Amino acid sequence: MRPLIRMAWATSRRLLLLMSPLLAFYLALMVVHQVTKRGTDIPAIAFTCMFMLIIVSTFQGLTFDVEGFMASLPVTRAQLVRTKYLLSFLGLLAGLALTLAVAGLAHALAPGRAAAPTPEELRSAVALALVDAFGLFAFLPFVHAFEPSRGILAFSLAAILALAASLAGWGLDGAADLFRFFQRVLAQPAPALGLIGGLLAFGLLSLSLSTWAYARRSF
Amino acid sequence: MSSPLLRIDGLAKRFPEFELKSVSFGLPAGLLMGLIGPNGAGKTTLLKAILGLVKPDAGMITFQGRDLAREGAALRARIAYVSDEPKFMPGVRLRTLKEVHASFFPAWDEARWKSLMADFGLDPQNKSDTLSLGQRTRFALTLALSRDAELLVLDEPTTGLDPAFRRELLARLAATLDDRRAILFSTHITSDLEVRADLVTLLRDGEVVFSHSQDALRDSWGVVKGGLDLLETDGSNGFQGLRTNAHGFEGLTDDVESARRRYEGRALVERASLEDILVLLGRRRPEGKPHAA
Repeated sequence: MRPLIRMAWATSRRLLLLMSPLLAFYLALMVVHQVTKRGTDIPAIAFTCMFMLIIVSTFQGLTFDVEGFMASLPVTRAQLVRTKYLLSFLGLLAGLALTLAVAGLAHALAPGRAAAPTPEELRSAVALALVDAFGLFAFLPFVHAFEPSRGILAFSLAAILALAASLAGWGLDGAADLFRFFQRVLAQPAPALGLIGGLLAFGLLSLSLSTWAYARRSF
Repeated sequence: MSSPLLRIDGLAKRFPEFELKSVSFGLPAGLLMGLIGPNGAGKTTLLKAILGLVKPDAGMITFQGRDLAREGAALRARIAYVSDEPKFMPGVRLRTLKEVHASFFPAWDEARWKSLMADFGLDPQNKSDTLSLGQRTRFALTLALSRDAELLVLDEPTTGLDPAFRRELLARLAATLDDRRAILFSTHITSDLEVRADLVTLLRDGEVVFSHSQDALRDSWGVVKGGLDLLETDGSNGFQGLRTNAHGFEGLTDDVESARRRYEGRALVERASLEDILVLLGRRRPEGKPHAA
């Protein structure tokens, strides 16, 4: 699997270059959010999810043209899928670390305007990462079952339907309540572990679905 | 003939617009097999199935007696593939691509790669997205030829290459053959195969028309050229392919000696070149009758 990770990293370096303007914009927005602290966390959640989706789909798009070449190498389809999951997961952790670093930096640069991250804010960041991970695990089977553009289309349609159904059921406040529920759960060790465990189980289901679908793809 | 290095038995794959129908043939070590056929005959699908890029609906592919469907990942370490349109990660230097690629193959020959890069006129500092199709093919060939593969699967590798380089490449490929290696080479340029191929397999409409040595093809296949009156007398039975014009006909036969006896003194009977066979067999025989163009 090491050569595969090396190969994916070569692609990721290109991805970082392509995404650097968006990344800079995202970081600036995080700093502004940290300094001003206005409104609810919903825009931040939506923006972060969108950002993650763009990054992951661009990565899939970059590798799409060479998927046939990669599948002709002495690796199994399952290894190819696991590599993508591993890199996506590492990307998620890097995003979380970056968010926390930006919050710390904002406090260091403007201590009067940006307060040091509180434990509640740290939990918010982790809750955001969990929402991202959930989105990622829901998204990846679509791009493994289809090629990226069709996968993104199918996922977007499914996401819009799910969003419409949840908004109809809970309303915007309900969605915020769900996020605050995550924050509260993360405040207690046992429920937090349960939540993370549930997410990991969903991740394993997602990985199994992706592996099954990818094994049937033709290149 | 020794037992095949690569064996394909009853391979079938159905797509909405196309079907590969029970393809079977064997490729022994030490030989170069040319795979020919009109566009859409199934050549690329067949080659991709060998590499596991297309999952067959039925049939079996074995390499060194081992099932590629079960042990593909391990066996692909010994099979090198160059696609008809090689693609690499965009914006990455050739040197980096090579380093990544080489890490999959313990038997990687760095000196050979450097030598091939120089011979093929490629700069390792170039980025992948600055290369033309011909340069990408050359680069893919440097990767394929530097990993000590026992089976080279090449899909139209000479497309986009100039004639001088094509000739040099064919000589290099032939030089790599020994008693443990074989090459499967698909092409439209039949003249490449006339010179170098030991075996020729013709695919048409997803089926194998023949898989023979060039000597056997030369001994059995022929072209009959004569006036239309002969066709009126004899009909077109026995011809595998037929082309007519205002002045006469060209018929393709797989039994040149019988044709000689049959048309003695009345028509010209010549040995068929691969191009003759490809052109006269054409794409399809309507309702089981010889193709007329």
